[in-house]
Amino acid sequence: MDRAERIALGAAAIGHVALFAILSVTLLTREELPRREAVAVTLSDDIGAFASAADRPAPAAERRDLADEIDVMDPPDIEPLPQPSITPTPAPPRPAERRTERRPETRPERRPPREQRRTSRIAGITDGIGSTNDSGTSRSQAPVSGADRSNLISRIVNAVRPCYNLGSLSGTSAEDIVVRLRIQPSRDGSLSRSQVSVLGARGVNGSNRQYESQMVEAARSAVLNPRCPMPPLPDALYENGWSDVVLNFIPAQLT
Amino acid sequence: MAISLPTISTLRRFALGLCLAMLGSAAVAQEAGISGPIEGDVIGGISNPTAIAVPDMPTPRAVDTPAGNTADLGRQVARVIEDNLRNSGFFNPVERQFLRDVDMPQVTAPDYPAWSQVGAQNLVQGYVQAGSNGRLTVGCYLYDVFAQAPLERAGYEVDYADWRRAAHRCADMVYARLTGEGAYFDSRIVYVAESGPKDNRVRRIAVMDTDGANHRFLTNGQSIVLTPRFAPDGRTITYMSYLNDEPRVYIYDVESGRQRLLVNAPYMTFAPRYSPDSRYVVFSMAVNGNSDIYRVAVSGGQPVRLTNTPGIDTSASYSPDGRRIVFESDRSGGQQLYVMNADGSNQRRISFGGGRYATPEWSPRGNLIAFTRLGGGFRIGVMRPDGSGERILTNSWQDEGPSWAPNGRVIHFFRTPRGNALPTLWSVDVTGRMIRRLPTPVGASDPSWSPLRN
Amino acid sequence: MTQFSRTAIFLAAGSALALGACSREAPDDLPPPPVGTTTPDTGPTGPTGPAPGSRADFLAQAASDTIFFETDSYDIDPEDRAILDSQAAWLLANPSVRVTIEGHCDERGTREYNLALGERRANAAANYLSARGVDASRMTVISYGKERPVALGSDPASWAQNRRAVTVVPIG
Repeated sequence: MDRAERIALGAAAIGHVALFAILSVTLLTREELPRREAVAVTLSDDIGAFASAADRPAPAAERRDLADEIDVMDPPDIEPLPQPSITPTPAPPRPAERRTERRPETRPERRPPREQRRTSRIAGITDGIGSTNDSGTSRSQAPVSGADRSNLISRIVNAVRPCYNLGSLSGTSAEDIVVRLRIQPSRDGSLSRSQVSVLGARGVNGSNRQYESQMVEAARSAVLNPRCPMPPLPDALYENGWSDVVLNFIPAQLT
Repeated sequence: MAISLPTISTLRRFALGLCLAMLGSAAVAQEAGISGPIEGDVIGGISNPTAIAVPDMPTPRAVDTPAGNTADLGRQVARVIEDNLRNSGFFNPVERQFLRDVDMPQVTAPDYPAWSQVGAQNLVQGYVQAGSNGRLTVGCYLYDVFAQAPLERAGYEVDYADWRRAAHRCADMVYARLTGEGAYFDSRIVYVAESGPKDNRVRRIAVMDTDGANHRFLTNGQSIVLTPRFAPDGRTITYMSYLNDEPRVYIYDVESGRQRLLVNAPYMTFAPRYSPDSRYVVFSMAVNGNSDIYRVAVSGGQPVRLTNTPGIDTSASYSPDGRRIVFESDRSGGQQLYVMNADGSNQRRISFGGGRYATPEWSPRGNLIAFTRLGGGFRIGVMRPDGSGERILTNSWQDEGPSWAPNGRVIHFFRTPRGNALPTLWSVDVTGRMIRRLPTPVGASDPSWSPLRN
Repeated sequence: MTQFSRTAIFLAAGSALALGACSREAPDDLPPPPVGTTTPDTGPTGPTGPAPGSRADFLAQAASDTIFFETDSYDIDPEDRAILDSQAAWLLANPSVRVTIEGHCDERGTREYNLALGERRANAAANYLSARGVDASRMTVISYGKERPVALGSDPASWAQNRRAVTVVPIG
């Protein structure tokens, strides 16, 4: 990151905070703002949400991303030390070539060209405002203003960020990987794994490919961590607003 | 359900305009009619140890074994796994008081909400079972609690006496799956155990598991022994001994306990290191005050001279592909690092910073070289094989002798305090974080990691 | 028994022990290292002074058994030369005595480098003695690097004492 970009990122961060502060004040004056308690969403609730969310399946192209990777348990590779023999509980067979399967060539290209990405990273606040129609699923209903959308995204990002934990990946080449997640929370603010899909990971290269699935999981854990639930958001801005959110997880620190 | 929005207040309009102006963005916010997901950036991850729960492992049938009752072993295996993960620095195990009892059916069907409530992001469950073949099976299951999903599982069968190895293998599976790094818990460390005062120090070669268990001494301390190194195949250890007051390199056979002289020459041989295929040893030999680097087959034979300068050439270390060797030489006036081809050709200096550079060790991943940097004190650092990207990882009076873990992520070294105190073993993550002391029964120096065991 | 033959027997015994150790199953029975080196020992002394050719005799006759070096250096300075000259005189007067010349370093170098540096220092002393007429075959050099300091401190005075080459005459 060069100096100019750093400054720009800093400005963007300040902009985020300022916008968030000012718009929060105005939003909070709205009568219809539901004052949900910001308690941790217990996962038993999530299971309920999971069941009720069955009518909103993620697009097939997205579902395969990490779902395939995680859902299928490895067969119990008993490693005899040193003599082989045993076979404990049987397990579903390992899908062949699951690694190469993860990024099918037919997957719709969702990434903006490089120059555009750079801009979006600097002026992240404008992301999602008047941007491309990223999803073919949205049912156009009431319009949600750009300002409202900016405010919503700021609040969601601020809620998620404290749980974006890189752990062992911090300080490694994994930090070049930007993960793009789509979350589609329930109207009650709950979010289960089926409502999280991975749109892609960029910046993956030969030196950090080994960390790719861990980076995806770090992003997913950030949105699923019960310590960082969705913030209270106005029900009125659910449709066309926070019902469908795309988050870019950018590891690099603003230093 | 359609909700019509109130018009945007003047204030908000002003605020948005202000912010956009601040950002210098040319983007124009649309006021209405936007569809598609809202999008934003989460910039800057934090770096905390991952909360992980490792409850005691149940047994389908409590059976007495030579290693103890399987019910008790289930508890011990869980504690070994937990200690490994904690000591890696990347995991924060849930405290025992918050761990719940797990029964056999739950091993494959975890109570996710309960584990979420105690703050665990990941969960390691398993079982311990005595087999009819006189061996022990440990089942090991890793779960993502937040995603309520299994991540990986594996089973390990071991002789009863090796029950700790099953625990290490389970911990390795968890570590590798959650960090993306290679495994390293199921390995050993050979080092020089030191005791007694500085002017009459007793030094013994000792080996222990990575977690310090199964410690034993290989030599009795009557001769000075230095710089042991595990062969990459784990079968032999090379080291230097002053047996008969003749400082020479020896090869120690781990299986038989026998040792033999590597090179029969009337000169001091020292600083031995194996080639990646365990077939050769590079070492230094001092002839009339001039130390050069040689290579010889582990089985013996005629050494081949690789360097030929009037200076001190020593501490050679192979690249993992066996094609190159990094070493230190004072041919320029002070100790600096050089790289050459494995046949000795194309010697070129790679370190140019202030002070001196010593004891290079090529990472098993090949991407970095660890070294001791001298100047003020001794510090452990890493650089790329072309000499770029130097980073100093430690800061102390004397940190010396880096040695890589099999996964190329962790570095061991020894720290010598001022005065008469004994040295100690330490580890540091290659990012420079998580400096930790490795407990040893007595003082310790010259650590060397074994490869992962088979 | 002459000094030389005693030494030879001793070395032979040491070698036998070494061979025995090498063939054993467990390495826990390494033979004790040969005596000598820096242990101060006056050796047998008669009422008329130390026996000729003994360590005590050497220590009494030579200016010193030790020369000192500058940091990271193996140069022999004039003071060292005077000491080595006196050692050479004694060695020439006792032609059957074999000696070991130890090279040592202070703690401010890495272990392996210091092994090589100590070997340089011991060789520097041996080469000087050889130039003064002492048969090279009578001298064995050995480096202890920084592993056998005499001063235990981590200060300039201690380091200066530890940067040394010591000419060791066998006891007795």
